[in-house]
Amino acid sequence: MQHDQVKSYLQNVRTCIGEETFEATLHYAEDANLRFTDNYIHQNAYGDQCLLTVRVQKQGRLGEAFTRQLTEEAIHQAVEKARRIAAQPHAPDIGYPFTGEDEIYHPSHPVRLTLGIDPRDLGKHVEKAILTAGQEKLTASGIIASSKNIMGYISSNAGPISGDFQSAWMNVLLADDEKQCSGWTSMAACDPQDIDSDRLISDALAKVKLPKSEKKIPPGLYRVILDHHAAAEVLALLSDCCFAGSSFHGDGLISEKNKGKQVFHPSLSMWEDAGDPAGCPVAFDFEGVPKQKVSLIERGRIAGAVYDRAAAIKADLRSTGHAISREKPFIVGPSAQNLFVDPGTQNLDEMVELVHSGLLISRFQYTTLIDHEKLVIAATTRDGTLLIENGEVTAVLPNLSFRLSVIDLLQGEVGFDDDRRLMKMGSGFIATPRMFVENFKII
Amino acid sequence: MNDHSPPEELALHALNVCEQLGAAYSDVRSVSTVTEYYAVANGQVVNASDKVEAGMGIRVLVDGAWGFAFCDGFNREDLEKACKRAVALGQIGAEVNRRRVDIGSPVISSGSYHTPVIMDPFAMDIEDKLRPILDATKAMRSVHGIVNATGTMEFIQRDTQFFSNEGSRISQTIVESGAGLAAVAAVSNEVQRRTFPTNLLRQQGTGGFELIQNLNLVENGSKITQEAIDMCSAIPCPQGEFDVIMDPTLLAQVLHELVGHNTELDRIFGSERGYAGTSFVSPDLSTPSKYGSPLINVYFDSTYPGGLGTFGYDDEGVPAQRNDLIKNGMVVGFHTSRETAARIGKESNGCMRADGHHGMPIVRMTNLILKPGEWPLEELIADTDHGILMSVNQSWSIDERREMFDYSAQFGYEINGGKIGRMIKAPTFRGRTLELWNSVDAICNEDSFKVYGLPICGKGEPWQGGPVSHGCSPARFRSLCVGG
Repeated sequence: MQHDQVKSYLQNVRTCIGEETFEATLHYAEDANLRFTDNYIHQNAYGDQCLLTVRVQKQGRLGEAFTRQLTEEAIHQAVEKARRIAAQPHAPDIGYPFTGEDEIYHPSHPVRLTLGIDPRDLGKHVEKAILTAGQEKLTASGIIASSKNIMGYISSNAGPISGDFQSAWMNVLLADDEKQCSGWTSMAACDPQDIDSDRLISDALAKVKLPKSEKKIPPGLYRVILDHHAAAEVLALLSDCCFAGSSFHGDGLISEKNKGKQVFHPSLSMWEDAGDPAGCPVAFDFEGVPKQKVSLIERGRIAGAVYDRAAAIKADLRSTGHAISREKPFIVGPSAQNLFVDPGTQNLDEMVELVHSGLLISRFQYTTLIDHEKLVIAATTRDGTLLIENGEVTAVLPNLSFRLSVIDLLQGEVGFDDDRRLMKMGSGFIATPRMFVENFKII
Repeated sequence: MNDHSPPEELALHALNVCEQLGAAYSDVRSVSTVTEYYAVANGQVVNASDKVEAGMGIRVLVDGAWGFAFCDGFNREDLEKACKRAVALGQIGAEVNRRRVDIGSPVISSGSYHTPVIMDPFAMDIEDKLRPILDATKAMRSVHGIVNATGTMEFIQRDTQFFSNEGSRISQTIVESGAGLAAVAAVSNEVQRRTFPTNLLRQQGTGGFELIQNLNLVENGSKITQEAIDMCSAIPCPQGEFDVIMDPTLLAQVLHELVGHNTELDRIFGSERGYAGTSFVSPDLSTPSKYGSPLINVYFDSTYPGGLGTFGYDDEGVPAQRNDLIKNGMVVGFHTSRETAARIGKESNGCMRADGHHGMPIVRMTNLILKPGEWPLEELIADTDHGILMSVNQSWSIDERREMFDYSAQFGYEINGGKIGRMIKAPTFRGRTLELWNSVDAICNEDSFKVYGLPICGKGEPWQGGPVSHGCSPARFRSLCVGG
């Protein structure tokens, strides 16, 4: 599908709806993924799909319909369904108009063409991992995926507009079944060509080749380096739970009323920037509003939050362009999807030396949010829980269980290394270095 | 009723194309799904949507390697493109893989299946459908101490046609209906949330609106409202070793995580190794493997009436069936697909399902049942000296091999000297999976047997949601580590 086709379909929606108040989003995605386990490709998939979302207002009430088909008949049916819902006396109140001409994205430069996806290129990355694993008498598992997208938006007062974005990511897990340990790494990139599978493989290999330790790690507080994915998970959770829309206007510690207050360690700076080419750039959100750069935390001080139009209007502000797809009703926005974290100046070896005695954790398994106020999470570690002794990474440990408050954790001693890496996290991305924390609670 | 089904001719054309391109095996799934979703809060609708999805998924084996491609809609040109993509992907796998996929003996199924429905939810007025949940949440919110009363309701109709080059020709229509409630109470600086009937989004099953009527939303909304208020003044979870009776609102989810996922054979063989994790269970059935006490008998049954995992045929055309997984505490079977079953010298028992046309089928639980025992619940409580009766899953954390777990429930009650005592808020327990199931010394009888639906079980990359159900009676677990 091309940009003019996306706009044409959206114009069809407008033609079908006529003078009524409406907005519509069309999201087209071409996705390829290649999954492998135990040195064997067990899933190789490719396809394109689209989702048209139509929202109609009638006397302040909202009706919403989705369809994955773009025939004239299908568009007409979606419009009719949205109308039918909006006409119900108990239809949800919306309370605000759809995006207008003064809010919608206006491109200041020609639309960038998307790059193609070639599953053969994805296959080459996987083949490298499998060959390396075979040579080392290990097993390789993981996934490589690539997605190219075109999104369009139209409302009764604005558009149609269209924009494109793309991304790729790869996870590599190398396991030694005899030793019963494993090492895992991950990265994302805007262009599949930029996936550095050599680096991923060597990072995973370094972890799994460590001697295995059966040392008991008793419950307690530990000095821990969170590898990229673990750091990304902690920080993305913080962003989504505390720096998005209505959650920023509550009575909690992280709130609009505490803007400027030093809440976290001064080494922590995190911002949202969907325009930064180091991430996976996106021009506008699912309401057609241009994505703004938003500072969330500046040297440990609360700086701001991201908004969609509903949250912004409620807070008497303007949207920052962070509405997400409404396809899954249990996933509600707004959400920062292109986060960046300031790196530090030390490399990993220097940070390990500084920690002296502690742990290096690759990733978490089954992270559960237990308490929303203090952001208490519980999980186990997996795929590379490494022991740091006398300033060196010496061994790989069995998985450990932990439970801690993310807010308390980031208020203690925090540091970052100089190696910032782009990670896929949920439907978004975060460029983060590894993160050192002081009081990581093992249970 | 959905009218997006493509002509059989189109699907057979796809099979032809795949064969001409060199696929030794091919199947085509056309899926059309209509989903209505409603969310309500305090007597008002806050989300109302209708979603239509339709398209085709093509799966091929080329030189022993899988390729899968999909397209929206039923357009001949798009379908041919998908066929070419699928075969090309299989060729990539064939060049890399050393092991060739074996899917065992041919499966040739022919037939149709339709969920038995009494009240077609898609033929009803929206207002009539919403009435019970609006009334329930409005009444809940009016109670002093309740700050928020919410509910969700969902109706799904999924029309699937399956064709394979082995000769399978299947047509199915699955209808799901479900609803659930949540009450949030705030009393004296304490906030507690109580959900009905479980904490798994909502109670959903295959069937029509009659399933919603059977939930008695207004009555149960009132019940959970009071419980939410009581939870605010409940005592904190004690610490120590306790005998725990888990009622089905909690045990169903424990069964899901600590038996169901562990016995998915694709997981045992490592397909989820990089994502959801593996299983400590061995695929070797020739060596007896103890999983639990002799009281533990678990089976799955994809013919069970009203279950979310109830269908006529799975997404490989294998007929629905019942199979034992654990018998008298010993592992005797797994959830399998054609490929995984062939690896252990068996035939598939029909556990492959995909989320829509764009998902490649993966091994899924269907309806997982822990066979009831002999105890009336009142007698089991009376027989328990130092224990806790726990209800409703709240949160859980499980390690990647599913050997260890950490659970919390929404509430519980002390049991002292065989008598129910004070209410406990957010009781927790943790331990090791095998020790848990080996600690079961009593299971209640059919009288307290319940089946709960889990509308979305997440698995696979890209993520797929799969509907499953679990049935059990309350069971007693001796000397669990509680609290802390």
